[in-house]
Amino acid sequence: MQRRINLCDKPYLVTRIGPPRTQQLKVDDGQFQPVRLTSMKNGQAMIQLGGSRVHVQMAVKGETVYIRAFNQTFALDILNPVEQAARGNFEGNTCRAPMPGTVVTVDVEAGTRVMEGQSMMTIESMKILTNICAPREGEVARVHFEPGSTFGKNAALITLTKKETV
Amino acid sequence: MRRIKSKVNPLSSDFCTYQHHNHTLLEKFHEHQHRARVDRPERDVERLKKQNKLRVHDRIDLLLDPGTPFLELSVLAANLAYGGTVPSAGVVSGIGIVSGLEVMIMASDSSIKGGAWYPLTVKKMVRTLDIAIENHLPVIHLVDAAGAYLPLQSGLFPDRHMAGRMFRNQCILSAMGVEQVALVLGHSTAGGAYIPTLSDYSIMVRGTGGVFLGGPPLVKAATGEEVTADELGGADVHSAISGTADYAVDSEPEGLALVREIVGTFPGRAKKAVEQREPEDPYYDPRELYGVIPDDVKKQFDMREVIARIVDGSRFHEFKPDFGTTVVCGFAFLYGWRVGIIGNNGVLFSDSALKCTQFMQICNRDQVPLIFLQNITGFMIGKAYEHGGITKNGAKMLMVQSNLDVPKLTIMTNGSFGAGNYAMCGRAFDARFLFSWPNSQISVMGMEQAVKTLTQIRLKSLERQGKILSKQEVDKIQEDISQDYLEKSGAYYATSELWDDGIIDPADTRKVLGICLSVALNREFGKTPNGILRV
Repeated sequence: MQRRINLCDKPYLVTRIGPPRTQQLKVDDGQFQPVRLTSMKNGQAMIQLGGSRVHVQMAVKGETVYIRAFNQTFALDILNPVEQAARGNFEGNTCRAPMPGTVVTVDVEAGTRVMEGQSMMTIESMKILTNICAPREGEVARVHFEPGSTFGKNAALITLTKKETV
Repeated sequence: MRRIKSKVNPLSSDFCTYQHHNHTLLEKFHEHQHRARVDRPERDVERLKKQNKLRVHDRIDLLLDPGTPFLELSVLAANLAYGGTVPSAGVVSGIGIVSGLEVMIMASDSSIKGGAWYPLTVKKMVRTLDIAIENHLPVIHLVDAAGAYLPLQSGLFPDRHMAGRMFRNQCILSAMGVEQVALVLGHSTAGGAYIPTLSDYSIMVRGTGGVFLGGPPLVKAATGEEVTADELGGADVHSAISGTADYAVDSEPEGLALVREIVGTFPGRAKKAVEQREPEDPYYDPRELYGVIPDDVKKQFDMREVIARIVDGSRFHEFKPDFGTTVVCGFAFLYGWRVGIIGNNGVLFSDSALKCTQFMQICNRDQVPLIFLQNITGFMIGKAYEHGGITKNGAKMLMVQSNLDVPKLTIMTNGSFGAGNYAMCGRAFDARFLFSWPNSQISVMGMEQAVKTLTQIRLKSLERQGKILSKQEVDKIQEDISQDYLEKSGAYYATSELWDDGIIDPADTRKVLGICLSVALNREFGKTPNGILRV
């Protein structure tokens, strides 16, 4: 089993192999070492890794596991392999019409700074009011339609300026 | 399975506006529900006391296992009929746990017109027994009904799904091996006499219980014979002489305890063998739904936000996420059971309909029950879409959906208009259960379009009669038409007419679906062997 984890905001690749009683663990490109976890009551556990052993206390909140060991608390996130591998949904700079319709309101103009998820335009189509929201943070380059105008499917509605590359 | 990442911001102004709007709707709903359950004219309450009878909900309380849930169905049936004088249509029905077994309870409420059957009473009772048949639920009948409400008899007596259907359903249940227990707590006359008599076990309460085809006044009129109700068909007569009933008891509590004892002898039900995982609460608080559902039926919302507040751990595997994006399909777990979910995120296009069709085939092959979350204004119209076969592709969705073997559960979350209602498993498509949220609307077309069309028709016809109308008169006509249309497309009208199994608090959706799913698994569902068509 291989997992990408974030431990205290640093990414690691952890690999575990072997049958349950003789498992081995490798972190990033390090050496495989025998590993064993013995669970006890109340989220306490004993971890043996290579020659050393340590008592830990664990608590889970959402996707994050908090681990208390060595008089410190470590926050550990397991990164989802699909998300890790996925590209961002929004590649271009243009928001397109999901269906033909009419523009009801426009809330931004060229030059407006927008946050991710901010509503920029409301369109009406087939009795539904849909908000066209900013897919990412950025600046509006162009609004293609005024309130009252009609458009076809996939028409460009709003274009953001190109993402500034760092 | 990945957790849905909510994009809803509980601090945003939209969230607060929506929340306020939905809280107002919810207050009204709770008030309606309370009135239907509790408010009765003083004299009816007094009459029950004098007869030594318990109120219907007190009877049900004594019947149920303490601390277990009771899913009451169609609480607001008939709320907009008969001038509001027959709350809950005069009968309480619901699913509860008695002696450890899931059962259907059907109880007349004799505090309303002596428990008389109105057309909607009969519709509710027939539906109740249909649910028992579909989900193999033993039925407990608490019988205390005066019989048909005579002034409206033509609306409840002879047709296929009217009163006779109840008795037919009882006979079908019997043959299926689904047990029925009746407790007679009042006079049960004419057709009503068959309910306890067709049950496997029938208990009568001495003094108040009576079963006869014709009551004493009718006997006197027909034959001249003078007889008291007890001599004619009381508890002792039927349990000792005629054998029409099986047990006589001295009081209601004794009778209810005996029902519990009888149900306790029934064998436990084996549920359909499907994998069940450890249940997990949703990560996102279901009460946040009040801030997700908009204050206007026309405003769009992301159905994933709803799914995130219903399913285990808010985890969802979305199927074909980049195709036909106006519909969301995917798998989740609900109280540990795997379910398929189809929810609308806009109007149905050909590609969205095809995605649903493909997904439903997978669910059916893999025996995964389906949940439909309806918010649908219909199928896309226009030349390009007709040329693209929108009607043909919608028909594929209907064809597969109608013929699914797996149980279907439907929730009306917002709008339900036109053929979209059908494709998304509306009432006519035999969802095992269908519930509405208080904000939901349902009609053959959206309100604005319908009112426009109806007004035009009315004006044309007046024109033909040579009437010339002032602007005010035209406005008045339009206003009247919209008022009527609005009422008849609202959730309260739908539930009044039993187009659903009740209105529910959106935050309870998970629990309600959980009970329905558990019940639906009481029956084996078959499987039509088929490969999946990538339509």
